[in-house]
Amino acid sequence: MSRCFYLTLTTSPLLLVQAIWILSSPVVHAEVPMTAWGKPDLSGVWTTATLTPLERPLDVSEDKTLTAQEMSVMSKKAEESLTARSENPPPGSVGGYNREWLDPGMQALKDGRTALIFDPADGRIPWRPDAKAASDAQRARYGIGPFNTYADMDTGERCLSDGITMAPLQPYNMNYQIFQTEDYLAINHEMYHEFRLIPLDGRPHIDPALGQWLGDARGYWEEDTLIVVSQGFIDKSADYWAWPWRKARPGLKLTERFTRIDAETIDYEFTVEDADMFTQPWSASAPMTTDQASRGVTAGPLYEFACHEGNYALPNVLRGARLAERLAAAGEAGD
Amino acid sequence: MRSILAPLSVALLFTALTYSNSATADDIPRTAEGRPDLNGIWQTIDAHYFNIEGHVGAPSSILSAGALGAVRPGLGAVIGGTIPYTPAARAKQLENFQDRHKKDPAVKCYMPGVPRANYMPYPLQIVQIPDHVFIAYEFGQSSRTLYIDRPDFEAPVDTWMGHSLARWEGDTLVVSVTSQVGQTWLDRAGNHHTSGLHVEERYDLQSPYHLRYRATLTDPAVYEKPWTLEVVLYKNVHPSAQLLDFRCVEFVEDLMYGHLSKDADIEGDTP
Repeated sequence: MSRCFYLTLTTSPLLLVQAIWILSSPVVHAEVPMTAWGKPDLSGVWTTATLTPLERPLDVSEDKTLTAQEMSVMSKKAEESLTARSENPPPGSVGGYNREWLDPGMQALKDGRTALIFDPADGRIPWRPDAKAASDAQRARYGIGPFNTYADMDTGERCLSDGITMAPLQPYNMNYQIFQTEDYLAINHEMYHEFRLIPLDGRPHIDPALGQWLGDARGYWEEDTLIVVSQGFIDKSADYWAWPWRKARPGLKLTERFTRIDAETIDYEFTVEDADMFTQPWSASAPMTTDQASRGVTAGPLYEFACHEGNYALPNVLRGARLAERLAAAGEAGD
Repeated sequence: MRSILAPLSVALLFTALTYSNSATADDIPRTAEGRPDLNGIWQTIDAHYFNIEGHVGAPSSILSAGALGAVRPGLGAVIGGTIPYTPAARAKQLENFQDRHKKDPAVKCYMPGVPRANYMPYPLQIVQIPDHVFIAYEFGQSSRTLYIDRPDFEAPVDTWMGHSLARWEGDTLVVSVTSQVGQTWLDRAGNHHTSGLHVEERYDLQSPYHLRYRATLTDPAVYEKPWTLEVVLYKNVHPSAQLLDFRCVEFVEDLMYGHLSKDADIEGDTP
């Protein structure tokens, strides 16, 4: 449930009280499975996939709520776009991923919110201008090159990581399996078979100098919400990330909140803090569901994503770049 | 007579010692459901990762690695001493061994497969819940999900870490592992299998800190009969123990893709 959505509806003192209560304590229904030791059970296979964007489009007002008709049109356009990708590529093009491979969210979130970001209220990442310029420059060369070395490929294309959060930003593999014990929360990410092992036993963080790609995570319960704080990220600023705000770097702090609100849903929220990149911390809500079909993605358990083992694209892109250079050199010699 | 009885008595003594070290049902931690509690960080201390067959210490095949790259000796994990390869399969193992630095898929940080992942010189963490066991391996962020009591769940595709269907037989967690790709090795010595491999794993918690791991491998294409290896996994009891990143993909990119860089002057080995 989008909390900013409730705030925008608040017009009376009574509703204001309701809104404050909702802000501080997500609604947890009776059908929430519980562990033997009395905590909400987060275990299961989940997806965050959705058509609802992380950031609100600039031409959409803050108080806009999507109608059922508008959400239906979004799904229809998404399907048409995927179908078009499945047609044979034009001569000279190797084409790309088609409908068989891609598995994006095909449904907007049912509450009609227009962005996952709810703080700030404009639903936009609060970039510092210099960081925004750097991010835009990075994103502009995605898939363009130059490809002088493997390091010119994005960390995802290198099968390393797409970076922080389980926000639904990928065109496939937005599935997660959670295994919860009293002392640990394990999250298996289908993408790149990354996993996170999050101690819940109150131990301190490790030395931040021992940087980790997804940070050093610690979890604790606050009522029925599991809060996971990750810090101590490794400095991979020099690598090329398709989503620069997701990259591992010192100074980043990620706080995630998991609240199982019913049998099928985890209210998953995250807050990103990095004073070098943003003018303020920002927060988003990306509800996770066990009902994968309701989001239009393939239902069932996680697959093993052997990305690196089958990464033919990376060396072939480099081979192509070297061939293009040789052809160009030969052309010049012939002139 | 004496010469026959002496080894027999040694064998009996070994057997007695082995089983006297077994835990009684009350000596091990248990889950709320009463199952042995396998949760924790585990690792072998033996040199099986070099060669699951018994082997002597040997120099490194990489000259500059010196003593640090030399082969640690090991008594071996294979019950009976040697893997019952077909002659052709043994020849292939020896060929693999000769060219191991080029051919071992783990050199490229490929997922190690089962059973190798369990006795590599890196920790693994077991996260056990009633209907699943998740095993996270530090090496290359590889992992497996064991599905308990789902015997009809067929593998959708072959995978590097296999399809693991588990069940409890008393206090033993028994795992049937199928549908592994044929490319993985069993150690650094070129011991191998095909995609027809079936592994039956048995996890027995022998004390709060000792986990006996046995794996029986059946693969008629390369083994003349099923055979079993046995290793002991030790629990890391340090209160701050945790798995750390060993994302070796980035460590092998120069090896695999460096020669494709602009103005490259090194050799590489791409898939």
